[in-house]
This record gives sequence, C-alpha cells and structure tokens, in this order.
Amino acid sequence: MNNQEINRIIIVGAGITGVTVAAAIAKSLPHISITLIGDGDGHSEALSMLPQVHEFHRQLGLDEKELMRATQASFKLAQVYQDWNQTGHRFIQPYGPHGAVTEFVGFQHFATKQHHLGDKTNYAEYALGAIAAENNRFSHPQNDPNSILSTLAYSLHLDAGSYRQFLVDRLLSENVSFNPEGIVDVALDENSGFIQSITLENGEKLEAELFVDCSGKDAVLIEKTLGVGFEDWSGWLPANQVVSIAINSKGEVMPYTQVVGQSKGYLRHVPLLNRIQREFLFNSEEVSTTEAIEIITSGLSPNAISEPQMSEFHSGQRIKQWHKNCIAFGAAAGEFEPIEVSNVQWVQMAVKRFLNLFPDQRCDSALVKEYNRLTELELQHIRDFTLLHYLSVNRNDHSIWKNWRNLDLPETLNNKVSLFKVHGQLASYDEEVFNEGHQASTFIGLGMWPDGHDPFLDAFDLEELKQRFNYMRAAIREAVINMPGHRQYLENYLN
Amino acid sequence: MIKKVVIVGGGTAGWMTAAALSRHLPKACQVHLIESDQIATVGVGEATIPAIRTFNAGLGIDEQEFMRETNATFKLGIRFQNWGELGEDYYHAFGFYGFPINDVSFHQYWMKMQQNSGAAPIHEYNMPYMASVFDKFEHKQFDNDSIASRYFYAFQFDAALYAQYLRKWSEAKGVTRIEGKVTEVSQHPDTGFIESVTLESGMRIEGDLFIDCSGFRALLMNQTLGIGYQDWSHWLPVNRAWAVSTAYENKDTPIPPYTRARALTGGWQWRIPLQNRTGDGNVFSEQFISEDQALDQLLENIEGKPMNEPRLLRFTTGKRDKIWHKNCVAIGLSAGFLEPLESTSIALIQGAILLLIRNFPNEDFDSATEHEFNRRMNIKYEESRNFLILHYHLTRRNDTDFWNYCRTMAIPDELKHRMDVFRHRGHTAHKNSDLFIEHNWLQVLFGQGMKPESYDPRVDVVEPQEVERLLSQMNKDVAQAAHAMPSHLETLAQYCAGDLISNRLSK
Ligand SMILES: Cc1cc2nc3c(=O)[nH]c(=O)nc-3n(C[C@H](O)[C@H](O)[C@H](O)COP(=O)(O)OP(=O)(O)OC[C@H]3O[C@@H](n4cnc5c(N)ncnc54)[C@H](O)[C@@H]3O)c2cc1C
Repeated sequence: MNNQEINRIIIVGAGITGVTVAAAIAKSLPHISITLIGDGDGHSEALSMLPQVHEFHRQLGLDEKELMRATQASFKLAQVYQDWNQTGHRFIQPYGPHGAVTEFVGFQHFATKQHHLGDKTNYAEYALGAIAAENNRFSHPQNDPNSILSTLAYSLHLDAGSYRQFLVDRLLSENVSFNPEGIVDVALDENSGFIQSITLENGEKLEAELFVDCSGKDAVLIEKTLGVGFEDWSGWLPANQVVSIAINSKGEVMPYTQVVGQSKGYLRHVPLLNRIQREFLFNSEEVSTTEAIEIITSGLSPNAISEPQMSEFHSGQRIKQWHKNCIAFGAAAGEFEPIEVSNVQWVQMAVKRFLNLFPDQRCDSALVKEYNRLTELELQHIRDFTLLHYLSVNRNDHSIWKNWRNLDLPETLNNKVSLFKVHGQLASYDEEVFNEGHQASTFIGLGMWPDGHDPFLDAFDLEELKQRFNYMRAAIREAVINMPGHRQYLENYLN
Repeated sequence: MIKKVVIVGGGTAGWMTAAALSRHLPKACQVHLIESDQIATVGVGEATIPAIRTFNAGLGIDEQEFMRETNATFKLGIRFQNWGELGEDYYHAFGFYGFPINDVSFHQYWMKMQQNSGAAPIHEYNMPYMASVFDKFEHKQFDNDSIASRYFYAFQFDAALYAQYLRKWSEAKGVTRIEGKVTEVSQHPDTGFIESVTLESGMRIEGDLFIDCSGFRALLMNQTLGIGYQDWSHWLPVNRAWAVSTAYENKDTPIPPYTRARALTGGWQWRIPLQNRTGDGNVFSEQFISEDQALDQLLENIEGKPMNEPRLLRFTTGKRDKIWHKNCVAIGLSAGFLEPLESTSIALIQGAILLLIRNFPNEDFDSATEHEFNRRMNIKYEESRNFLILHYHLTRRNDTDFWNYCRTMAIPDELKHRMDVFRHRGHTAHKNSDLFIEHNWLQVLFGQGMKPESYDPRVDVVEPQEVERLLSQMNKDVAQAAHAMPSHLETLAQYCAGDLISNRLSK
C-alpha cells in the first residue's frame, strides 16, 4: 500500500447525490472514512432511471426486490412522448431494440424504406418494450435468445427520498458519518491550492485529503472556493425551472415515464406504486410561478395532490468536474433537462468512472485530466441527445419554442443530424450513453425520417424481410397479451 | 443510387474491397476492378490481427478452405525481442491477463502481489502466451467464462495468395476484373469529381464511385485529386524494408503460432511462419543504417535458405490528409502506411471498408457522409499510430543512435497522456474506438518494462491470502490448459493443411 493513499473524504451535501457518491465509495473502499456535511434536501422527487441503474445496484450488492419495496418503485420499459412535435403527436421510446439488425444493416433502414414506400406501420410495433408499455404490461426479460421476451430491457422509477434513505441504511458503516452543520470557512494549502479543511458553524474544523462537492448549484467548493467556472447551455436548453406535485393514484401503474408537450413547456409524469409525480418544466422568463402552478394543477382535484414545489436549474457544465483535490458531482458538476437522463443517473455513471480512476492524496494530474475528458464527452452526448428532442418541435404557440428554432447547434449534434438525414446512419462518438438503435428510434419517433436508407439494404429480398418483420410484430402482440398487467406483476413480485 | 464502383488496384486492399462490396451491395450496382500486371503489388502483408476473422466471416468464407489456399497458420500474438532492452523478450498475445476480481482488473492485484514477490511473471496468467511458448494451438471460439478458451486468434498467410483467393471469390460474385494500366483520369470540369479512367489500351472506364487501391502511388487521391500526405516519420522513423521468403531449415523446425519481431540496431526484423515457409524482413530507418547494412543483417538473421531475391520497399510513415474526397475513397497504402510492427495495415483496410459500407454514399455524395468517414478514419489511424510509437519510445536501449532517438523523441500529447495515466496506477486511458484495447496496451506497457507507481486501492479490500489463492489458481489453470492443447502443427494438419504439413508429421 502506497503511504499517500486517501483515508479521509469530506462530501459537502448530503442529498441524493452526496449519498450516492458516499455509498459507492464506501462499498469499494470501506477503509476510507467519509463525512457528509449538511442535511439531505427534502425534495419528494421521483427518479426516472436508465437500464444502467442495474449495474450500479449490482456493484453495491443491492437486491432489486428489497430496493423496490423500500422505494415505492415501479418498472420502466419506455419513455412515452405525447403532444410533443405538436398536439396529437405521440411516440414511444423503449429501452429494448426495434426489429433486428440484418447483417450490417440497422433496422431503421428497413423501416425507412417501407416508410417511403407508403407503409404507415407505427415504428413502435417492432419493439416489444414499446407495445408492452402501451398496454401497461410488464415482465422481466428472459435469457433465452429464441424468446421474444429476451428483447426486453427495463429500468426503474424510484422515489428519491426513500431511495436516498435506503442507500443510507444499507451502505453507510461506522466509517461514514453525517454532520448537519453548515460550512463557514474553507482553508487552502498555500502552495498547492489543495483544499485542506473546512470549518463548520459550530467552530469545528474538519480535515480530509479529498473533498467532494455535492452541494448542488451552490457549488460551494468547486466554484465558490476554487473558482472553476460554468459553461452555460441555456441558449440551447431553454427550460430553467420546474414545479412538481404528487398525484395519488391507485389504478394501473404506467410502466413508462411520460413526457407531454405543452404550449409553454412540457410536463413529465413519473409513476410510482401509489402516486404519479408530475413536473412542469418551463422558462421562468416566459411563465410566471402562478401560471406554472395553474398549468400543473389544472384538472386535478385539490385533495388528490400535494403542495407544488418549485426548483430552479441551470443547464450547463462545470468547466472541470475535478480540480485539484476536489471533485464535483450532480448539479455542482452539470445540469441538463431530465428528458432522457436524470441527474441522479448521471451521478451513478460518473462515480463509477471516478472509482476506476481513484487517486491518491496527490490527485495526479493525468488521472484528473482523464476523468474530465471522459466526463465531458459523456455530458456532450447527453446535451446533444436532449437537444435533439427539441429539433422537431413544430409549435408556434409560444416563444419558448419559436426562439429556439434559429439556434446554432453544437457541431457534434449537427454532424449527427445531417448524417442521419442522408440515409439513417449515426455519427458515433466515445462515451455515448445511448446505443445506435436507441438514437435511431428517437430520430424516427420525432418524425425525422432519413431521406434515404442504407443502399446495402437493397441486397436483401424486401418481401422476405417484410414477412420476417410481420411475423415479429405478430409475436410481439401475442407476447403482450400473455404478459401480466404492471400493477399485478409488481404486487406478485414484491410480495 | 450509385450504379458503378470502380476500384483501381488489385493488391490486398483492392481485392478485400471488391469482395466486401460484391458481397453486400445490391445486384443493381456493378463493381469493376482494374489492375496492372506491369505494376507489382506490395504483397508482403502476411500477419493479421483477430479482427480479420470478422471480415472473413462477413464474407461467409470457409475458414478451412481459406487457410489451405493461402498456406495460412494461426497467430496468437507477436513475440517482441530486444525491445525494452537488449536480451529482453515479451509477447503481445491476443488474450487477457487472468480474470478481474470484484470488477477490478487482474493486473491491479498482480501489481500488489508482485511487490511482495507473491506472483509469477504477469504473462504466465495469459492463456495465448502460455500456448505460444510451447508452440501449441487449439482451434476454439472465445469464451469469457473459461480460462482455457479466453483468447482470440488471427492468421499468418501468404498475402499474394489471399488476394488471389479473394479475386476468385469476387469474380464468382460478379466483380469484373479489367487488366490494364491506368494512364489518364478525367474529372468533371466544374465539380472535379472523377468521371472515368483510361487505360493504356485506350479503353475508358466510367464510374460513380472510385476507390483508390493503387498502393503508395495513390494514383487517384494524390496524383489526380492532389490530396497531400501527413508525414509521421519524426514519430515513426522507419522508412525502408527488405523482404524475403525463407525455407524452413528442416521438417522438424517448429511452426510457432506467433509472429516474431526482433529489434535490431536501426529497426527490427519480422519472421512470419506460414505452412510452407517463413516471410522475413528487416524494417529500418535509412537515416540510421544503410540499405546494404540492413540487407546483411536480414540475411544473417534468417533461419533457413532464402527462396527469392530480397526486395527493397521504400515508404514514408504517415496518413493522407483526407481519405475520402469528392467521389473517391482511398483504401490501403494509398490512404497511409504506419509500419508493419502490429499488423495494422490489413486491419485498417478492413476498418475503412466497414466504415464505407456503413456510410455508403448516394449519388449526391452528401458531405455529411464523407465527413463522418474521414473523422472516424483519422481516429483509427492516429490511435494505431500512437500504439506503434509506444513500442519505440518505451525503451531503455541506448546502444545505437536509432534507439537513442526513439527513446528521447517528442511524442504526441495523447500518447503522453496515456502513458502518464498508466504510470500513476496502472490504468489505461480507454477509448471506445480503439483498434487496440486495454489488454493490448497493458501487454506492451508491462512488456517493455513500465512499472506503475502504485495500484488501484480497491485491491486492498480483498484479503491478501485470498488474492494469492486466486492468482495461483489462475496461474495453474492457464498452465494446465496450455499443456493439454495439441501442438500448432497438429492442429494445422488436422484443420487445414496441405501436403507439406502432413509430410512433416509422417516421419
Ligand atoms: C514492409 C511491409 C510489411 C508489411 N507487413 C504487413 C503485415 O504484416 N500485416 C499487414 O496487415 N500489412 C502489412 N503491410 C501492409 C500491406 O502489405 C498492405 O497494406 C497491403 O499489401 C495493401 O496494399 P495495397 O493493396 O494498398 O497496395 P499494393 O499492394 O501496392 O497494390 C497496388 C495495386 O494497384 C495497382 N496499380 C497501381 N497503379 C496502377 C495503375 N496506374 N493502373 C492500374 N493498376 C495500378 C497495382 O497493379 C496493384 O495491383 C506491410 C507493408 C510493408 C511495406
């Protein structure tokens, strides 16, 4: 063992981000003593995760059932977009694949060719995950590659507060402590500029070798202390405020997150076992708080809902996520609209990367540089993919959508969009979160059909392909009929 | 839609391209290939990396037939001699060091154990290494769960025969081969797109898409379209090669399942064992040693009788500024040449073909397609280049000016970064697009003597006795599995060999 290893870590911020980071570090490096400063924020958010969440749980040794019981969780097969491009538009984005790749040729090419020949089959019909979601059915994927059920992929919806508590209960050991006091001072080493200690309101001074900034947009350490700036993306991603309420619900549970376009922003519905968390995302210069509350509560009986909660966010990224002996996660590191990737999901992916590059007390600059390089690539992908969803919106009803249309896009997204338009291929970059099939189905779901298809598709007999995929559609319909309803499945599974 | 593709050049690149396009393009698109008997192919590309199997499988080639017809042998890796220091020997073998424990790479545990000398040398946990040292090979598909099948293989073959094999294959699929030398290329007066090429005979061949496989001369890309070349010889200073075919000394001379790369004074020498002979060559920098000296070295070092006059090849390491321009794509040596140390040329040819297939243009030649192709190819070339530079730069040799130069030269920032990341804790700066991934980098980094300062702290979570037990189990399993394998010769004889191999076995 190297005698410069890290033994003490201070995490500033004990919300879901801080706890996620603490849990991951404590599991991998149990000898390190971790102190979390501050209290957990009291937000009753619902989290809509990606299938990557399973990997995180596996690494922490968490049992799915136990976790789901504790967090009012439900399964997530897809994301459904309603009234998105314009009123009446709807598409389903499942996590499992559409159709099947034919040798080198992705399924989107077959669908594109058929589309231009006048075939109006909904793209979703080629994905079991989409049709199951549409019918509120759920079943775990099966391993047998001959079964259509092997094409399912799923994620989870979780209640943020109880998820945080679950992680606290399971993972924190005698080496992990909480200190709710606020910070009054931070001391730096004169020579290195490394953070040495923090002083709390009660006068207590705490030292550590590594400081983790999970303080949200306050960015107490990374920005307020170390002066690392923030790259603003609000020109690209216009929403900057969210209001949320919980709606009681005892009926069928949607196995998907729903995003509903509105004239002045959009609504998200994240279903949990006995409630639906509804959020309205908008731009605060365009919509007043009162108006936002009106929008989010419209049509709901006041007894069925919770008090609206407001929060702001600021799309953009920290110029360096990791600087000297301080690393930021969560909103302190970057924020984006949660259309496809929630910030908590991103924290899980980021902390895994951090553990793979875990430093010693010197925080070697090569490790720091590598972490920042990878994280920036990943964020760029998340940003571009989020932004892609705005490209097809065809509403004239409000300026949030109108102003948006004349923007210069990031070059990486421009490449993606113009390449896909030619004949449905995807420009690919390192550290992408979503695979090609997922990206292609988003383009298509948004109505951005390519002008042509991969010429190599024409080497296959179209009639044969049509038959094969018609057969697949029938198999999907049949499988869905035999799948249990989502609530019923949850009740059986969790009992 | 593109109706006619014209490939200029019938070397390895030309015929690989013709085969793949004829396999995957719709019938309505014709493929023509022009080659000239007057201009020889390079034809020394004999060693490959495992990716070649994906290519062959994509064509639907029968592996046994292909191996028989190209005198092929199996390749488990490359044996590097005298690279870190004179007298040192290591392998870059196509497999992993041990298994990860608790999601942490094997080598991290090994680095800790090795500090207390509680571990065998790291390559002794690598299956294809152990098979290689005993000249063993068993034909198996990769299986990540079984230590005995956790390896990849490639081939060593006669490149001229491979091109012939693909030619037969392509012609059967409808590719039209035209013999003749291109003497003139005509372009559209406004767009500069290539419209046709004219042969010495006066025959004119028109096309929509032109693929330049004309080798170093880059007839279309450079001579016609004027696309320049990025010279990388300050990083990869070798610029000449003497190549010769050598007979096996006698029928007991082993046929190793690996290529040998022995570092010399001003470059290095390859030895590639085929079924019937070896291919040998000295790759060197003429700035540091003369052509005559290099030839003498080659002949001194070969292990049997030369079967032909040694050939001299001249090249400049580097890459064409653009690999796709207008309606022309360069594939093979016309696109660039790094140097043969890690057998990247055929892999880059294959990479280019696959990217072309994935981004096949339509008649409008949309710039987005060209842009994506060039962007991805640049990454492939640069990453292969960085991996190659590592071999030269990471040396302690100071016995010749050549090695002094390589050891002290400035290297690309990206490579420096990767070495810095490794130096600290043995991590590899990973890229998804790499031709070579973590286990390839690790073998060269460790093989050439780089020692990280410390290891991943997660290693300490597992009890040292437990780590020791797991490591010694893996070590035993690898040795046992290697021991149980048939020899490379036996596998060849049984799987794909011609008379020569059978004769060898019947004593
Ligand atoms: C020393 C050395 C060692 C190598 N070792 C390896 C190795 O181990 N592994 C590996 O993967 N690669 C290796 N390579 C690279 C490999 O040889 C080449 O990548 C491969 O041969 C492809 O060459 P090519 O087809 O691009 O060009 P060439 O083989 O040069 O073929 C050019 C073709 O173009 C035709 N042509 C040219 N001009 C005209 C014209 N005017 N009209 C008509 N036809 C024309 C010629 O007739 C010929 O058919 C090595 C290369 C060298 C130099």
